[in-house]
Amino acid sequence: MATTIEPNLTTPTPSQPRRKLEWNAATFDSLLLIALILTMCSQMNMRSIGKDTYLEGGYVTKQLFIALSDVILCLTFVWFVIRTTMLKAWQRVWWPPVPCWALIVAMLIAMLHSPHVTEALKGAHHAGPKALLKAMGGQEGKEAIAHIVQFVLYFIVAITLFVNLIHDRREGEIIVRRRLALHVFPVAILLATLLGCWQLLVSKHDPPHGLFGSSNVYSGFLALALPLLITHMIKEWRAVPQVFFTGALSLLLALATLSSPWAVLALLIGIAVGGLLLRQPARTNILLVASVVVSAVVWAGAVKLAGDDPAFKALGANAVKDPTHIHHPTKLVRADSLRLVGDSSHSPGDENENEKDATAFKIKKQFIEWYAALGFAMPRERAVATGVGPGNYQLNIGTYYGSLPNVKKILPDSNNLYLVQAVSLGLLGLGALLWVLGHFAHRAWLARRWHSSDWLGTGVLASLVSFGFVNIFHALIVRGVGLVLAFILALAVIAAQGENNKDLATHEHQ
Amino acid sequence: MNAPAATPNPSLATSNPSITNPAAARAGIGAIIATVALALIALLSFSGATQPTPADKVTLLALAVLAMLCFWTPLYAWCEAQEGAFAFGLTAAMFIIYGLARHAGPASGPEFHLPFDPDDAITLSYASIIVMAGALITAPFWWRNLGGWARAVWSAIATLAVLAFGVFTLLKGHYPVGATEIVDPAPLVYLVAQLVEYGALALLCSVVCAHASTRRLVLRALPIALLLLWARHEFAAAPVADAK
Repeated sequence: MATTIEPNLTTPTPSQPRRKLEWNAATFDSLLLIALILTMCSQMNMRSIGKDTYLEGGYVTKQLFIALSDVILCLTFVWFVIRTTMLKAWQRVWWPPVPCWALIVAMLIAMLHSPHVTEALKGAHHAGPKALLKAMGGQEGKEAIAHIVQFVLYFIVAITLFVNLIHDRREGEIIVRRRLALHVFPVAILLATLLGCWQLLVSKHDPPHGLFGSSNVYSGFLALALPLLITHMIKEWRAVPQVFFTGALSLLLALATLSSPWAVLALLIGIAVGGLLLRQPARTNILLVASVVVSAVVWAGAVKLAGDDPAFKALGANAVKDPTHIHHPTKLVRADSLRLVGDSSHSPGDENENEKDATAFKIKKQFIEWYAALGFAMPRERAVATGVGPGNYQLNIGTYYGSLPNVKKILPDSNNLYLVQAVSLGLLGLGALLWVLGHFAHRAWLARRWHSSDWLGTGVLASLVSFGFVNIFHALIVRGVGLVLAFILALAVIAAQGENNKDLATHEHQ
Repeated sequence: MNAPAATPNPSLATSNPSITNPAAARAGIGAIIATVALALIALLSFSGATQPTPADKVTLLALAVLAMLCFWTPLYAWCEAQEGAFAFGLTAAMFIIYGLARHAGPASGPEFHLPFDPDDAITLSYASIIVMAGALITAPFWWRNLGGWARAVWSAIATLAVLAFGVFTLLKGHYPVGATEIVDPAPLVYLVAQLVEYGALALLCSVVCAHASTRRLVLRALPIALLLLWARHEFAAAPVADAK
């Protein structure tokens, strides 16, 4: 039977050289895991690959951005391969399940079956390998390859690393880093919300966005991450007071800094699901539900008040020539996010003849685009099965508008994930994505059943429910949140494997 | 290398021929019906009227190679141990094949209209009739035995349907609806029709893969079918039939 060991970074190294090597490797594993968790809660780009063609030629092509979290992920992966080879532990490595591989295969099929990508290759394959490479470097090919690489990193590499670093199975022993991971993650969330709070106080024009590229991604990140933290807080607030402190403070800061009411709603749904699934006493459940309802009512009321703000109303009626006079941009963005009808984007920008069309602003552009996306089902597109190609949504959506008003761009990261994936990857790809999410949600559900005293499975379920809802309004499998999703999915496996790994083999075959 | 954490494939229980099991026999009948339906669809895809695009041909060849790797090598045993692997693989291939077959005609056939769009007709192709009839006939076999992959496909269908009808309802309250108006209902019509067709196809694939004999037969034959289809459209393209 394997011995379970908790890592201790200060434990003196053993005298035998091999054991010393193994212990150093384990310490480095822990440090990399900490670095990975801390950096995954950000979107700090270190450099870009490709030219910024918009500045040079006025047209947009894909630029690949390399974030700090990508660097740490790649470093961790290379180290993992080296140390697993040195320790001869490949036989004990956990690998992602079939749905993850199916998603990648679906993306490859979508890329090959995309007429836009293949058209670029058609003329090139007679000309030789160089021409083929050049064709793949075109806009459609670059987008497709970039997306496939991203998804491989999130759904294959990252999940593998997280599971194998947290439950590090070696010969005769298992190093468990669950406690380490679940202590570092709340710290990372708290740091993100503290930064958001600082931005709220300091910035006059932009809503808080933490270290992410947009306030919507920041909101989505908190909607995904916080239900896990709050579930832990509900379960163990008496036994571990710092859990309560961290969770409560993060939640309060999040509610103050979130600019997307949809993310707030998702967060409240996630917290409610987590609390109800924890099998708490009836009195606690009533208190929990009441808290969630009161929070929702207070939040909706605040947004309504913001909507009555005269400055915000002026946005809808008149062209705003100088946005710097707008006060409280966060609450205005929140109120604008909740609107289904009308649009406040009469803002200065590129001239567009449709701006004079009053019908253009009857429904928010975000929802008009939902209907435009259905254009992929038209017979001439032949795209329902496998889509228009990974990453090719933006290149095709404009042609689907037809007579629909197409004025201004929607706010960053406010697409509907399910429609974007349906258009890009077709029914095959969207089905594969839901298969992945469903598989890990099922693992979390089984974990809740097998280990009734453990909160982790419930916490993962709460996060995934919140994630499923918030993606209707903010497509979140993008840089910055993809790794966090991979971490949550990995925790479903960790939860199913059990806190002490004693019945690891038994549960894997149930 | 240890096999990844996997839910055991429940359909392996039906692979032992020595077990006299009425349920397994009934499942076999359903699997045979589904196999026949898939075979008919594959035959239709050979028609010159399908008008394959270069993307179709490239994908057929790539799928043939992938199918050989997965189903003609020891990898078959690994796939057999993973729940849903075969259903996904067969569905992926059949989605491409069906995409061709549904253009095989008839040039003019039975059609119907949805209430919210009297202008756009849903034309029933031979392939769509086969796939929907096959799914209906085999309903007793998949109704209570849907695997994870088939459930995921139908979850995707339900998600798209809810989003599509929801946003259509929102838009029609503010914009005029019609073939020449701001909100054209045609995409919704074609989306609904194709979602049902592809969903039915996924169900047929899951029924085929649920029974060991048909599963082995179909998956071993799949690379050959894909190669023949690719060769048919790449080297022996018939004159394109007028769609009208």
